[in-house]
Amino acid sequence: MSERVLRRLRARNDPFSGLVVPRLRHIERDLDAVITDAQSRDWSADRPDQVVFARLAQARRRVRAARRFPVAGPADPVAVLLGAVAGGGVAAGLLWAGGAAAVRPVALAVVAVAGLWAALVAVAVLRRLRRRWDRDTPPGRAPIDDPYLYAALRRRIETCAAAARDHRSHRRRGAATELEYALDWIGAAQSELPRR
Amino acid sequence: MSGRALHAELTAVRALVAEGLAGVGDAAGAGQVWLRSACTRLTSLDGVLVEAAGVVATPVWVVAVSAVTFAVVVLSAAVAGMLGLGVTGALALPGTALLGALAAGPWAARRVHIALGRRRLGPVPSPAPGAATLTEVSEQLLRARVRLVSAALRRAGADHWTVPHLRRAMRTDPVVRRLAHADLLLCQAIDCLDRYLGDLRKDLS
Repeated sequence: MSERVLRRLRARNDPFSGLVVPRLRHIERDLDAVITDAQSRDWSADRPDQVVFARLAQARRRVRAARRFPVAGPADPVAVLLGAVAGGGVAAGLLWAGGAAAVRPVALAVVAVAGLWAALVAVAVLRRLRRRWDRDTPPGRAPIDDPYLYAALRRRIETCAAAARDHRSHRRRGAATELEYALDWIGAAQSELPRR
Repeated sequence: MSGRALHAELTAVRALVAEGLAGVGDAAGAGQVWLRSACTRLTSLDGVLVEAAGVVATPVWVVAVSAVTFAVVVLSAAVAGMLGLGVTGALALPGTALLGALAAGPWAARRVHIALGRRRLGPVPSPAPGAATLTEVSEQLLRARVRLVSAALRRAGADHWTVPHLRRAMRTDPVVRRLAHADLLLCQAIDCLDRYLGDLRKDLS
């Protein structure tokens, strides 16, 4: 049995979950959603509290630093995908309709600009639709108040840290230190929660 | 909220933050962890504010991106014609050039935002000399936060002050997103200061 399999078995602390080592990217995405929600609640005075989301954001910073390739994705992946599909589709359609005449430089540039505008129009329509959907969405409960959120986050980050701690690359072992800082910040955020 | 009013607000916030940074920086010489981390937060906060002020209006941005696309495709298609490539090459070379330009877009846009923001906001105001205690600095940063959040809310528009709208604006609106990041950094700095003061109080008692 190779060392990799052994490490995976060690990381699997719940034998019934299919998840082996949780991915740092997903942890960061979940933290991001919780922080944005808590901050918008603070801004709209729905749940005024400026400490907890700031501490969770410190944890997010540490998790991002622990990632192997810490690149942030696009700010709005749905809009980027929609724009690419719409722009590419319009440009391909124009090229196909134009035939051989569309290969000259100026015609090709006009086709490219038309594709760009089609992408922008698609994104603008998406924005209008989202405004309408947001008006009908109830705000719901704040996920930052959920005690199980902290338990789940702590368990996932601990699993990642355990997997990174005995990695043979020293950079991965350094990531384990960052993840321990993240655990500290999550504990600090939880200690500030209002107790009922 | 018009651009000019937003810039005036951001200039005021920047002045408050610079004063706070001076107040913390005087005390941070002792090498305290919390104070140093508050200083880092406030320093990067200034950069985020400059970037938020440098975001260009949507029509200007559309015209600029269209012009860049047009120029890139015309030039690369002309190069492909001079090289004597076939129809496939005449499509592939401009396509590759366009993809490269799109990939370099965020990087170039960030440079443009920072340069424009520097011009719009002017140089960092020098803080008034006067030793503020750390408690006063914390209150001052709280006042800066109130101004920053009210500027961001006015930017988002009065009919979008519900939680789902704000959540969406923080993700997608370029100005509100940067202001939300700045607000986050400010909150972290205030939290670091408060933890330092709390530790001091614990030591004294």
